[in-house]
Amino acid sequence: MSKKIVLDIKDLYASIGEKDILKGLNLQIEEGKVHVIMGPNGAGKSTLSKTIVGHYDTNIKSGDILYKDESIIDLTPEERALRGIFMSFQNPVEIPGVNNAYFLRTALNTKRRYEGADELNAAEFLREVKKLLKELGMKPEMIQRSLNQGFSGGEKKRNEILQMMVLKPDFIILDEIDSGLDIDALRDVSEGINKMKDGKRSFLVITHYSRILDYIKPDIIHVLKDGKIVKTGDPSLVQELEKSGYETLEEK
Amino acid sequence: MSQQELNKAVSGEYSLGFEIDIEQETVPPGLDEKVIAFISRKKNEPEWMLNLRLKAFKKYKSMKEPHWGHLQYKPIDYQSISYFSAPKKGANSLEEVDPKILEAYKKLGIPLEEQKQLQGIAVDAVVDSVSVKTTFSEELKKQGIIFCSISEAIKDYPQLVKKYMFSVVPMNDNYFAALNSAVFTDGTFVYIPKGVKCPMELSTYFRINALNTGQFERTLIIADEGSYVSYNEGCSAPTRDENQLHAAVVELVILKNAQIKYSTIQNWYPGDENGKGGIYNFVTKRAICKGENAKVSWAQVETGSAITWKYPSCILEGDNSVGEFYSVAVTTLAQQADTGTKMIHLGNNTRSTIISKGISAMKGQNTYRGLVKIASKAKNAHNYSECDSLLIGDKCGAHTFPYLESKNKEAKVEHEATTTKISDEQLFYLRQRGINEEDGVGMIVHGFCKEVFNKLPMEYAVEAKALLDLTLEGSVG
Amino acid sequence: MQSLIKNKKLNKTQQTALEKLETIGLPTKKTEEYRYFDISDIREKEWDIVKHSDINTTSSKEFTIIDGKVESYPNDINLDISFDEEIDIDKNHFDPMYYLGHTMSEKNIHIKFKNDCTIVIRQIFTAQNKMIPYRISFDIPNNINVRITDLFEDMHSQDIFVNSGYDITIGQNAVCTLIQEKTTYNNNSKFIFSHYAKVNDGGIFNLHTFDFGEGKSLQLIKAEIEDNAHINSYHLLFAKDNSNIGTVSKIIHNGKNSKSIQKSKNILQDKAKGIFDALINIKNSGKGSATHQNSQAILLNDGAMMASKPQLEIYIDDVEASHGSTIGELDKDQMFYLQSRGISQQEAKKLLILAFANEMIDVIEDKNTQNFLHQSFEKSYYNKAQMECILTCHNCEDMILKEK
Repeated sequence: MSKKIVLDIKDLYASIGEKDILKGLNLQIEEGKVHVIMGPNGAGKSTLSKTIVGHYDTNIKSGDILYKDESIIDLTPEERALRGIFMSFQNPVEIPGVNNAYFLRTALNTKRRYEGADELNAAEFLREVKKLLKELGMKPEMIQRSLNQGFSGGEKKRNEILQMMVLKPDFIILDEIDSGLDIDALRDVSEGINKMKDGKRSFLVITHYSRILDYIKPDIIHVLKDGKIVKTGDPSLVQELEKSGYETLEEK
Repeated sequence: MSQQELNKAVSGEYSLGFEIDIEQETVPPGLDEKVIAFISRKKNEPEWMLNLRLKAFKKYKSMKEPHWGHLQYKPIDYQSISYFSAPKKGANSLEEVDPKILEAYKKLGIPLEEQKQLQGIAVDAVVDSVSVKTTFSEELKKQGIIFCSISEAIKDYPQLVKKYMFSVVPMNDNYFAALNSAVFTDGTFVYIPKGVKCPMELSTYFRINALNTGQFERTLIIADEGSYVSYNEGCSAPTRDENQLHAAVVELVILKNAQIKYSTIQNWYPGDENGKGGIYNFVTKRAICKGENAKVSWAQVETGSAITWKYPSCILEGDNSVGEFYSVAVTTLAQQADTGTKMIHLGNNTRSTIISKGISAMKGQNTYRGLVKIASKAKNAHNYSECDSLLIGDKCGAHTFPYLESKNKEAKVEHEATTTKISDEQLFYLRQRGINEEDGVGMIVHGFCKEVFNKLPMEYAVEAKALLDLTLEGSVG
Repeated sequence: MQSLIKNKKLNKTQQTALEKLETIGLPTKKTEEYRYFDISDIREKEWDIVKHSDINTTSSKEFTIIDGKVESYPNDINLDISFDEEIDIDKNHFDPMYYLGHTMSEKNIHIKFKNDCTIVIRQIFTAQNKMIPYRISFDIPNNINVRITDLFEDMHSQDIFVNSGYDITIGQNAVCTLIQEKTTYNNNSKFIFSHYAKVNDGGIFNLHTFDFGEGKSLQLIKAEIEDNAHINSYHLLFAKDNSNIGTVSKIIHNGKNSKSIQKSKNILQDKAKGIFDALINIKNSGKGSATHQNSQAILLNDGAMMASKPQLEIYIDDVEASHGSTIGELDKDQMFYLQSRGISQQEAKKLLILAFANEMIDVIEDKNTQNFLHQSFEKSYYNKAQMECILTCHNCEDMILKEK
């Protein structure tokens, strides 16, 4: 019984500015699974996530990215988002003056419109969000503040997960979700993520350290080195990496 | 910090005050067509050059001296200045140069022979309107590089001169440029051929000597496609009671993929504590990045002059061209400076950077005046300007007047300026670690200027630092 | 223009003003302050001054000034209003139009506050093809706290030239908050407002100006602040079409430990031309003063123009002075973040522009005024008023979040 492939990256060559970063990357993610990408600094982990969401810095030289069997490399960032791709950023940008609630409601209503559902008004939206705020351990005022402005590292990450829970995407990229988090924040954030795991949602977790993997159980581990996936394995690969590091890994 | 201590720290004794005692052939004061014809004849210029001079003089007569600068000075009587002065003896080679002149240069620290042997730097030394023979021109000629006086260039390379002179600073650009175009007496001409990277720093040393003589140099540097040159201009002047006028014009032409670095270390006599004497420095300097990827940087350290009016500018015409301006300007005693830069963005993807550091002490008044102009067709232009002023003492002034005009929506213009005094906390920290006040002030000031000093060619960065110390720390050289 | 002045009978204030005007002369193309605001058509035209009927002013809740004449004002015990006071005008103002206004005004509208007070002034223009000169002065005595909301309406006028402005004297430790909203229309009218404010020891002047629209309007401000006095000057500009709108200001720190904060935000669209020409001068007597000035501009399309001249003139070392100015487009990272959440580029752009402008509106304490300003901006930017819950309205959120 083969599951559907939700994300299929074929031989991807991508650069940031003048620098070539991804050099023939291949990756297949099955629906409902949690895939983890680990690797040394500068290997191309964040470039990989940037190319999937269509960041303006990235330049795809050749290869393709198929999402739900559709090539997405020519789609705008918002088109990809409406199709269900969501990325939790490593360093979420601050946007002073844009109200957090208003922003999230707009994003949600845009999606609902796309799917043919009714839009929520301000009051309805806030009632929905109140519950989620509590679950994530966020103070209610945070929804009233300017988007990410003055938020601590942990608060920013919680805000990312809040958005994820509101928008209910199908494919979620977590870019270094655990960086800068203390134990409580890590626990709350992981709980939020785990609640979203329903067998149909797929996750791509990008991380340096294995700490997050104690909270979110992964299915498959990949190692990204020199712009390519050099090794794929089951979760036991993590211990192997911890013991011997990235250097000793040989190319596939 | 008490005011007395401060004053001691910043009033350096001007150490280069003496004059060259040689016979000079000086034209009587006054300015009219006859004087201009005299200058042209003295220089053996072709007819076309005299005609251009007269054309410029005509324009000059219809213009008025500008007074929008943040400067106060006694009106200049242009008719009381002599417009030509030259040492009597001509020179064909170094050996024939008047030994008294050579001695003067020794005192200034540029013994031509020694430099020729040890430092490998070509020096074109100008003494009051006539170029003492260029040292290295023969050796540079082998690479096709032309480095000679502007008078020689007019005679030997008329096509180049005709093509490029006045192309960057037209005769009627401003009052002082018009004056200069009519009466310029000498200056430097440099031409770097296609693809050649000039192997040594080119430099010119000036000196103003006789009473009431203005110095009007005209410099033209052309970097042909793919070439590179680093040029340095440094000057000094003797102690004088009469104000001396300096109205130079510098034109830089940078073609495709070429680069010019132009550094200035200026040590003109600044006048005394009461604003008496000192040089009036009204200079027009402009570069045009004509071709794609052309790059120009202006780096300057100005510590002298009684009055300074100077705006080295860049016209960024070629796509991807880059203009940079790095400046440290010190005004102490009773100096006044109204200086800055203009960056005009015309092509696509152009970049300009302005880092201006002003230091004011005693009764100095330091003004930064800058213009950043982005034309509506200049796509993706970027400008970054940082203008910081340091005030030492409670009688000086620091002023910042940036003009930012943008007509293109994607252009990014960023400007920041701060004005502060030397931080008591920083000074105390240094003193707690055993460093005395004067040295402490010096350290902080150096830190303040570091960004600019790093842009000077290495040999000159050292000289610049020493010059700054001389001006501010009271040590006699 | 000159002919108008000759045949008037002048009082002392007007006489002083005329003398100053004759010394300086009207602005020309070479006048620095008018470098980006061309008034040659104002100079060259032979203007008719607007004439007012003799109807007496009525008493009402609001202050209404129609075409420069006070039509109604509140009978408030906290203030006195008079029309024939000969006030002291600034004798060193940089703007000749300040003196023109004083020379040409019929009677100076003088308001003296007696206690803490809040007033709303509506300045409405209905005339056609006339010059409307008038001046208003505010006298705020020591320790009094005054809030003035100043609203302009020029929808129904055409081809007018308004030459007005305030003379504001803020007493020791007094506070004056002036919120001014001007939306101009494309009706060939020109507005020049020339102000003078003197903030005495310990006084605070909070100035918030909001200029939106399609017309031609310039405000010139000269403020002098004394020992321990503060000025907070905020300017929001949204200009579109062929408008030419801006601020020319000179803030002079005379006193020790005086403080100024000046912030300007500008959004330019179509062929609009925006101006922010602001000088901060700290005199030698201003030891211990601080000033921070910041201006930002966003150009929404090529051809729109922003001229920014932030200037510092500092004559004493013991100060804290800085300024910054940026001109550019919307932040790419912020745009991308919104797009990555499914919001279209167009919508994201709108959100960011509103956010940019809102920083200047959200500092207004009074919620009603805030809402009014939000609406005003959105009307100008979107070309229609939002009917439903306004984008940045916080009121209903508070309610819901506090529900059990």
